[in-house]
Order: sequence, then structure tokens, then C-alpha cells
Amino acid sequence: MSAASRRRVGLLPWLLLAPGLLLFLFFVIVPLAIMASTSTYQLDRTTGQLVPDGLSHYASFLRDPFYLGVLGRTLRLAAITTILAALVGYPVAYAMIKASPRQQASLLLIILAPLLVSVVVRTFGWLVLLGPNGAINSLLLGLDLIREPLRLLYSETAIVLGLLHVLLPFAILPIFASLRNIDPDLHRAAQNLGAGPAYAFWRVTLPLSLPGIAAGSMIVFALSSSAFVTPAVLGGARLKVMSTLVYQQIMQLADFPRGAAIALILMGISVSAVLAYLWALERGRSGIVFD
Amino acid sequence: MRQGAILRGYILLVCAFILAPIVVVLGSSLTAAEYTSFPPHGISLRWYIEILRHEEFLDSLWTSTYVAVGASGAALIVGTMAAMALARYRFPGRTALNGLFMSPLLLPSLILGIALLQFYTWAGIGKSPATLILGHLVLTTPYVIRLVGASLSGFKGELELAAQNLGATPLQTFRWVTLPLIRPGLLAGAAFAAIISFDEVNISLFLSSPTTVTLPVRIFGYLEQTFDPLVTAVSSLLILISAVGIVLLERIIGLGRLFGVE
Repeated sequence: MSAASRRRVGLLPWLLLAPGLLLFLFFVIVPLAIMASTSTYQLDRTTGQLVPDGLSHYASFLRDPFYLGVLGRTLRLAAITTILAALVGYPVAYAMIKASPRQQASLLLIILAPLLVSVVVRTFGWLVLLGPNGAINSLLLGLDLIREPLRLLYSETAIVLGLLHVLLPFAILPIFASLRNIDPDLHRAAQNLGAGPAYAFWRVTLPLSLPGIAAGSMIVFALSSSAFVTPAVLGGARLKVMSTLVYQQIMQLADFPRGAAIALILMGISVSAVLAYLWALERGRSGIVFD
Repeated sequence: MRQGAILRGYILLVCAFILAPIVVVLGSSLTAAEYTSFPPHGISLRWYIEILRHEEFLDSLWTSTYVAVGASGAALIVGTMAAMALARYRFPGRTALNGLFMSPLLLPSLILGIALLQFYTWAGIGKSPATLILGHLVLTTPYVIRLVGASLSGFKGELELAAQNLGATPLQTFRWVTLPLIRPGLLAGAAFAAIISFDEVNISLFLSSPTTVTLPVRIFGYLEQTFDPLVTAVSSLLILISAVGIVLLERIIGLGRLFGVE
């Protein structure tokens, strides 16, 4: 290979990368930097100007009981959704392993297809289900179990239900993947050694699927703590979480600096969960040492 | 045996839970009444016909369409180029670059929308179709890089090297060797990017101007106030469009593989 052609090979990858690199530089990195810098300003309401103000938004966030309450609700709802998703999702993943390839394929389709339907539409479905004229109230009224429609909407329960629905597939998939990696002989070996099916599951299958549970839980936590549409629609205006609080600050109050600061706190929570997820996946892969 | 029956019943229950909101929207869109209810009162297509009388929904359908086409088309080009570089070359900073390209999957899209809005405001760039498409482009490019990258790793770079040794230019090699081999990845990447863009709401909420409101943002705006059956009909339309995408993707590579479980 001549020196000239070697140099051309050396330059080619960078030419291929240039559009993507420029795109991500100007539309991801720079915007995030601008947002971080905006969060250190204060909006002067009388002049509409931004005045440098250090980390005051972060400090006031940590002192303000209202903001801390919103943060607490966000973390609580995300934690409840995460636990429910793992509990509801585990048996589904387990059944998929036991199912015939045909059944497995159709189950996978039912679980995955809704992911491609807009979250706005799926959340709207819950509005129709839980509303005063909705399916659940009609059913209960029709059965004479209640006299007036129940108030199901605009509650934390409604938010958790909506989040669980949107995020359940993200819990099922990693558990399914980790269960599939377990050698079925291990379960059989445990039973040959005298363990009952339940005991074998408890001592062999469940511990080996823990990395999948961990990975699924982290991604569900990350997505539910930052979800916007579901809490905005099913929680109503009163039940604020971090994401709806940010939206209010920026779109309704036009307070960019405060909105940026709250957004960055939310980003810190969500991104640490995703990094934990990636870590769990990595460990899960190297944790399978039995083959 | 009884255990199996319990598990089967449970799975049916979960499937019903997963499908219920979608079925309910489709079902109640067929109502003949003036209000949204499930089960619907009477059966008619009147609310679908009503969509045609509402210019704002038609405008939004058009906006969503050109944003999805623009973003997925551009993502296909940018993403394929990047995937080629990442899959076929070893160079310093490769891992870091890969991480950078995957970062929109890691960031909450709401945050990306806010950051872009503040950036556009800071730079004095007004909202336009282009700013909206650029936002969607950032969000969809990682998926194209992943899917095309998976296609590229499905065969060895030796095939391309052989073509080049036989005198083909890099462009000829790409056109006649690489392109036919990665076609499924390209199709899946384009279709997935288009669906992601069509369904996207978090970024669009911040980047839509009054003249560039996408369909999901329009529906979201309605949900905050009231919901008449018109919204169920528009939502059903969105479900049907997604269904076309689902069938396409299932045909091209299979949903399981798309989400990395097969």
C-alpha cells in the first residue's frame, strides 16, 4: 500500500463521522452546556433580563418544602412503578421461557407492539378507561356495585397505573434475556439433588436472573422518574412531579434559569439510573460463567 | 398442571392490561354519541369524517409527516455514514464517539427538548420546521447507527476489501457490495426512525411553533382541556399509522430483534 492511499484510509472514517459529529456537537453538547450555564442566572421579572446568580436555584430548591415535596413524589412514584414492574413482569418473562417458540413470538409481539404507539395515545387510553364515563366506571355502575362514578383520575394511583403500562416491556425484556441465558440443566441438577421445584427456583433460577431484574429496574426507574406525558395527563395540574414542574417553569412561567436548574437535577437522577442499568447489564453478561 | 393454568390465566390478564388502553381508544372512536365513552354508543364513522373539517388536525398530520420523513431520511444518511466508520475502522476515540452517538438514548428526551429550546433562544434562532426536524434527527440517529451497525457486523469487512483489491473505488464498493448486504438494516433503521419521530412528543412540545404542531402535541394539548370523540378518532389514526410501521418492522427484521432480545 502506498503512503498516499494509507493516508486516504486514515482520513475516510473522519469524513464519514463528520456530519454526525457536527450534529451531536451543536445539537446535544452545546445545548446542554447552554442549559447548564443558564441555570446559574436569575430571571429579573421587572426587566426580563438574566442576572448572574451562581448556584442559588439549586440551593433554594434544596431548602424549599414545595420543591422537595415534588422531588419526593417523583422518587416515590418511580420507585413504586419500578417494584410493580418487576413483580408483574417476572412471571411474564418466566412464562415466555416455558412457552413454545410460536407462543413466545406472539407474546413478544403483544408486549413490544404497544411500544411503537405514541405514549400520548396510550395515556389517552387510560383517560378513557378511568374517566367518569369510562370503561371501569361503566362496568361498576352496570353491575350496581357503585351508585356514582368513582374518582379514579388525577391521582397518584392513576399515574402509577399509566407508568406501569408504558414501562412494563422495559422490565420484561431484560428479565426474559437473563432467564434465557440460564442453563436449564442447572434447574434439573438442583432437582436431582433433592430440591423441590419451588426450592430449585428460589435457590438457582431467581439468583441467576437477578442481573436481569436489576437492569430492568434501573431502566424503568430512569424512564418513570423523567416521564412527562403520563403524569401530566393522569395526574392533573395539582399533582406535580419533576418533569411537569420543569415544563411549568419553562413553558408557562418562562423562567428559563429555574427550569434549567430543576431539569439538571432531574437529569442527574435519571442518568445515574441509566448508568447503573448499563453497569448491571455488563455484570450480567460477565456473571454467566457456567457454560 | 394447575400451576400451568394459573400462569396462563395471569399472562392473559397482563396481555389484556397491555392492550386495554389501545383497544379502548379504537373502540370509543367509533361512537355515534357526542361524548367519549367505552363501550361506544352506537357505531359510526362520523368522528373520522369530522377530522376532515378540522384544519388544525390536518395541518398537524402534514407537519408530523414531513418531520418524520425529513428526520428519518437525514438520520439514515448521517447514521449510516457514522455506522460505517464505527464498524469498519479502528481509530483513537472510537469508544467515546460511540458513547456520544448513543447519548440521546440515555438522556430524558424532555431534557433534550428543553436544552434545544434554550440553545435556539440563546442563539436567536426562531422556531421553524428545520429546528423541529433537527431535534428529531438527534433523537433518531442513534437507532439508525445501531440497526445499520448490527447489519454491518453481520458480515466481514473482507468482502469490501476484496472489492477494493479488484479495483473498485470506495464509492463503488459501497454501492455494489455493502449497500445490498445492509439493506434490511437500512430499511429497519428508516422505518424505526420514522415511527419514533411520528410518535415523539417530549421534544416537539418545546420546539413546536403555532404553525408546526405535530399530531401527538396537538392531541396532548386537547387532553389537557377536554376530550370529545374527535380526539379518539385522531388518536386511532395515529394507532393505525403505527400499526403499519409495526407490520413493516416485524416483516423486515422482527420486533424481538429490533429491541435486542433475539
